[in-house]
Parts: sequence; C-alpha cells; structure tokens
Amino acid sequence: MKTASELRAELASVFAKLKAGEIKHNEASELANLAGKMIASAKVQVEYYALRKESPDIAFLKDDEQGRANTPSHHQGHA
Amino acid sequence: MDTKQTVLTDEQRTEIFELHFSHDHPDGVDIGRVIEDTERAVIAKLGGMTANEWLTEAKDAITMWHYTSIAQHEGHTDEADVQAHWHAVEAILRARILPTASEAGTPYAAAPSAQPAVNGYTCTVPDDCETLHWRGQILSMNELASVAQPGVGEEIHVHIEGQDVLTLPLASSGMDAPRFVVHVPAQVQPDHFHGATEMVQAAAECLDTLTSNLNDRHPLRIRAQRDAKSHVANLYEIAAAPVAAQAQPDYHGATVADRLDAMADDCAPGSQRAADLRAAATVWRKHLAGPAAQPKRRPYNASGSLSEYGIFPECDAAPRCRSGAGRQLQARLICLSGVCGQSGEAGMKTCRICNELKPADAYRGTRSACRECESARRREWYAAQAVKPHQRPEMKAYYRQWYAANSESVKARAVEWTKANPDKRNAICKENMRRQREKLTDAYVRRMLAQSIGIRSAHIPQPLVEAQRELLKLKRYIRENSV
Repeated sequence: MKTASELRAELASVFAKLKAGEIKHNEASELANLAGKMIASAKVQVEYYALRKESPDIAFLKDDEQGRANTPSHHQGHA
Repeated sequence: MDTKQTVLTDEQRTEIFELHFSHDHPDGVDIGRVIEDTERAVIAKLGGMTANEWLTEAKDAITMWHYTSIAQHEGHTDEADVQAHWHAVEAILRARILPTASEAGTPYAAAPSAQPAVNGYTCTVPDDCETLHWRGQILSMNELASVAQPGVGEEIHVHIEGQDVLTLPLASSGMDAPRFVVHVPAQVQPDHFHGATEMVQAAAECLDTLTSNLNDRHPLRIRAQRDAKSHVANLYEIAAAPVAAQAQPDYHGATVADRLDAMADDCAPGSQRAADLRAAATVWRKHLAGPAAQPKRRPYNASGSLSEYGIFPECDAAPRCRSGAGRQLQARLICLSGVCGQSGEAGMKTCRICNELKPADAYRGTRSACRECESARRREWYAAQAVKPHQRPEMKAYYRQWYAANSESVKARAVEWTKANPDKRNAICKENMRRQREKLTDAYVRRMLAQSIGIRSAHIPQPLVEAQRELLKLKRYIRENSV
C-alpha cells in the first residue's frame, strides 16, 4: 500500500470481508486503526504544505491527483 | 294425430272451467282461453317435428301482450312487473302463438328468424350512434334490442362517418353505406322447449302454479290474481331493482355491493350472516371489475366496401361472452333488453387507450383514459426525459450567464430571507447535515478533514477524501456491529 488508492481499495476489501464474516471485528478494527494512522500522516503532510503555502507534493497522494487535484467533486453521495 | 285430444288432467280442466268465469270481468285475465290455446299448441307441437325450434317472433308478441295486460290491470307500466311476470307466463304465452303460426303454414324453424334470440350485446357502440341497420330496417338501439331481436352472428350496421370499425361479422351484408359493423356475440336466449315432452311438462307446471296460487287465496276472485301476481313481482323486484337502477346512465347511488355492505353493517358483528353479506359484496365487486368482452377495433377503410375486411374469425368477444360463470351476470348487467331501454353496462366505461371496460372508479374524474393507462403514459414520458431541461448544455450556459448577471440580487435576497427566517434556516441546515453525514458525501468528509487539518476544505486532495470515506465506513460498521 503505497498510495491512497491502494489504501482505499484495501479498506474496501476489508469492509467486504468483514460483512461476509471472513475476518473478525478485532482484526478489522486493527486494520482500521492502521489506516487511520496512514491517513493521519498524510494529513500532516498536507497541513505542512498548506502552512508553507505550497502546492502539496506528496507521493502517497500523487498518482491519484492527476487531473483532479484539489478539486472537490460536488455533492457526491456514497452509500 | 288427433288435435282435439287433451293433455291436461281432469282436475286441471276443472280449474280451467272455474277460472274461465273470470273471463268476462274487466280486470280478469283470460286464463281459460290461454289454457285452451296451450292445449292446442302442445298437440300441434306433438304433431310436428319435435326438433323444430320455437318461433322467435313469439317473444315479441308475448312482450307486447303481457305489457299491455299489466298496464290494463295494474294501471301502470312498471318495467319491473314486466320482467317479473315474464318467466311465469312465458311457457303459456309462447304456446299461444304456435297454433296461429301452424295454421298459417309457417314452419316452426323458419330461417333466419329461427336463430336463437339474444338479450345482451357485448359490443360497444359509439355514443353518437343513433340508428342501426338490421335486415334492411333502420332501428334505434332500443328497437333493435326489444323488437328486432337479432340472432347471434347477424350483422348490425352502425352509421357514423369518420370512425373506425368495431368487430366484423363473418359475412358481408351487401349494403353500400355501412361504416360500422357490430358483431353480436351475446348470450343466447335458451329455448326450454326443444321437445314436446318438455313443452307439456312446462305447460302443466305453469298451470299448476297459476291455478294453485289463485285457489289457495280466493278462488275465482280477481283480487287473488293480483295478490299472486304482486307476490311474484315483489320477489323479482327485490332482485332486479338494484341491477336495473345501476343500468341507468345517470346512476350515482349505492351499488349492489354497497347495499350488501350496508346490510352487513346492520347485522351483529361477527355473525355468519354478516360474513355472508360481506362475501357477496366482494364477489359482486369482483365481477364488476372483471374483464369484459370487448370488440376488436379495426381501422376504417375509406373504400366503404366490406369485402376488404375478409373473414375475421378472431372475434374475441364471443367466446368470452358465452363461456364462464360471468355469463349470467353479464347478461343481467348489459341492459339492452328493451325493458330497461338503456345501452351499455352499469357504471362501466371503456378506456380509450387500452379499450378495456372498467368501472367508473378506475378513472380520474370524467377522463376517458383509466388511471393505469394515465400512469403508464406519465412514466413513459418521464423516462424519455433522461436529461432534464436544466441539465442541457445550452440551459446550463444560460443559467450560468443569468447568475453572473444577477448574483448580487440573489445573494442579497438569500441573506434577507435568512434574517427573516432563522428557524427555518437552522432546520434546513440540520437536515442537510444529517443527510450528508448519513451518505458520507464529499462535502461532509472534506469538512471533517478540513477541521482537523485547519485548511480550507477545497484544498483537501481527493484521494485523501476517498480513503477517509472508506475508513469512516469501516469504522461505522465495526461500531454498529460490535458485540
């Protein structure tokens, strides 16, 4: 898991397995905790670039940002 | 065969002679003569071919005779009375016609009049149809039903210009002008007397009933005849009145089902009688709502010739009309019998889209399309609007341009409204927030991240937003399903 996309895909996989009963709640909870740490570190990096008033150059987020960096999609609901 | 021999018992003949005394009374019914005619008719029938049909024309004469008779005796022409007494005297009166026909040399089964008469019409004739052609005669609808009595499969030509053809018969009429041809696949009037034995039995039973009714009350009294008559009439009236009332085109009252429900309400709750009445009401409504026989519509051919239509064996009205348990009910509801004098079915209406006969409550107001068809059309229309008008590129550009020109006034109005309606504003915001939180929208996740990082939500990278959303989903599920 080197990118946010991979992290997202992994989290989705964990979610599916948890619903299917293939993994236990405590395992999923640990994975969620780990993912939270990764996201928190990315947030720190984003905050760093914001404080420096620079455009973020983060490898973890980079490959996904092409064409849509910093452009929020409006009102997209996700179930 | 000796046509002077009698087929009645001595007792019956005695009663005949006794009853014959009432013949001279102004209010009396000439029962003696009727019975004599009956005897002669039975004998004539025995002397002929028993397979012969009885004359259809007899029915018309009977109708008129009986109608006049009641009008003279009772002083009114109540249609229910005519219906009520019809069955009671039919056998005797039909027999009365036979000797005359026999003496005139008319065969009993003369074609085409020997075709079984119909007392119902499943075809839907246009409302603006005023005259019909049958066997070269121009008749009104009522005349056709009450006097003409066309046989099954006979052609009836409806003259209306510019309309299409309903259901076609199997044979050409040879007429120049007809624009509509209506097939009449209605219920066949059953002939109870295909044989002499049945005729004798029916005649004897009718005489028995008639004489016993009279003698049981006040023998040889005219009053007794009236009592017997009214007694039978009342029974028939109870059954026939609701149906006849609903056959009226301007009927807005309670239906039979409603009356049954009302009767059930009057009964003790939970009683068997109440349950039976409810069940009867349900059955009645079900029959009314059931599919009715409908003629097929065919495009009108301007050439005016019937030959181009060819043979159409797929007349779907006939089999449905003739078969099944709904036949009797249909025959009762379709009131073209000449007694009620109305056409069409009670409280029913044909949808112009699906062409099905449906009860009036299946329509919205006075519309000509039923609710189902209207809903279907509406759904189709909305489905066709895949791209909403405001989503079209030209409209988007227009709205953008308009907003750029009027943004200040829009914002000012919004601020003004917010100041004037703080409670509404708070309620709307809370509802929006609740919906965003529930659906984990981008706006919600971004706002959450922005608050924790301390930057504007617009500066949050999208991959981070999506990863955070997945994490929130997972955490929610774990929290909600943890033991």
